[in-house]
Amino acid sequence: MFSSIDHRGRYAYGNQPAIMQWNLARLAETLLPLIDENSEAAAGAATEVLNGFVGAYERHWDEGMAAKLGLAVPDRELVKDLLELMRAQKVDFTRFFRALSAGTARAMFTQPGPFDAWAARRAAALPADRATVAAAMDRVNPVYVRATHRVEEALAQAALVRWGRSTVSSRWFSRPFDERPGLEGLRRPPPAGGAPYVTYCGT
Amino acid sequence: MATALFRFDDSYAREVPGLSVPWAAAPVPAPELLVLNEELAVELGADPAALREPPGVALLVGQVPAGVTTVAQAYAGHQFGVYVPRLGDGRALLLGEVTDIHGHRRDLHLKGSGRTPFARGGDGKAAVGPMLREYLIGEAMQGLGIPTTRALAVVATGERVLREGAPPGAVLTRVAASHLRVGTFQYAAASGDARPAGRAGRPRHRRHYPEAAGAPNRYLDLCGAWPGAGVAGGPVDAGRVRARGHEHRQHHDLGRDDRLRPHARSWTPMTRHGVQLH
Repeated sequence: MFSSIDHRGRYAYGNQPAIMQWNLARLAETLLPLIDENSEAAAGAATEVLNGFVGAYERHWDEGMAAKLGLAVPDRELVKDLLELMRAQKVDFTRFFRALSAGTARAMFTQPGPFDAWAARRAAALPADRATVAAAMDRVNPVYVRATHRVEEALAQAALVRWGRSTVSSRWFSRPFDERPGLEGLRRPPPAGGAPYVTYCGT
Repeated sequence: MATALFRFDDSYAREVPGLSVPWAAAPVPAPELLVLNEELAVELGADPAALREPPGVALLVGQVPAGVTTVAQAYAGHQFGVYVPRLGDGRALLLGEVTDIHGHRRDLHLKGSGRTPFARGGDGKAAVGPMLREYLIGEAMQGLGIPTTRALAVVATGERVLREGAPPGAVLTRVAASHLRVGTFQYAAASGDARPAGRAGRPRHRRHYPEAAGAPNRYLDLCGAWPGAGVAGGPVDAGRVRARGHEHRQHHDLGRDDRLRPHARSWTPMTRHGVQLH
């Protein structure tokens, strides 16, 4: 969850496209008198545009995930099965895609069997030039993301040194697709058993 | 002189006066610049060294040159599923509009600049930690190629704020192509005028896109970008989603889920206010 008072999951990852479409519908409502003098015609025209959102979003999702996996052609089933597998075995999202291009992803699975089966399906769909595939994957899969625990560590550290100008460095995050020496700590997963992260709007 | 730092325009205050309230930032007792985004300052056509001088720092906490009107923006929107006809910037101000080195108009916006007429319970202030977090996460989103607001600076105020532990206070200066929200249009439409949303949209059209129908595509640039990065954008409500769909703001309050729960729910058909989705 992304706001600790969001018990119904309104802001959860899987709900974001739907809530986006909902926002678009609210925007469209305010524009109806500008779209057509006839309110029914206006609502019809707006609805047509809004209904296109789901398909367009899915195309973006399919193409985005195909790029992350190095596939030339989107494969929704392959993506769906991978995400289920990662969820079941608690595999870190960011690190997985870099490991996949490096050929070390198998070690991230406690039970590699299902991953092997999935990897064979992917391999069959991959373009022949694997080096080019790996390089292209690394251009779209970040090494570093704004992992919450790392940001909090940075802020705690900054508070200790009088909000030290030098320690809060956006350089950590400015080139997330390039691996750089000295930033290994940013790749660390969150500590196991750490306190749940609590965050609210407007804190 | 502050006027040499930025040449401010206040077209929003002038052209759609019903959508904001002129309001001045609270005085800051002892401003101290904590972090300045030099790359962004240069992009905005400002001299980073001048921004570090006292007149520059004063500008970054809302002490604008005479003749520039800072405003608190009004908007409506849904909070936790409930429509609220009047929200608005409770502790934020539109500092002014500048033209960047690429010729694009950008908004400079303050957060933590004191209570406005739209404020409800809060003191209108902000603490250093959350403002630094918003700075960092905006830069992270920028680096990932996800459209975002960016922070220009965080200035400590020298005050303690009324939060647990009485943390030091700060003002954040952030930059966006616009601070028009979906809720801005809702607020304008609810005002009951014949074509009020059109007036709200007029500066937006000039500034952004001539075609209103392009909004869904811009939303896709935004919404379609972040799931691939494994990030959930957090609250995506009328107050936080830009009308042109090009930026998401308020990163300070966003977590990142380390546990993956893809597509926790399926698409939900919605039937509200006459616009049906299926």
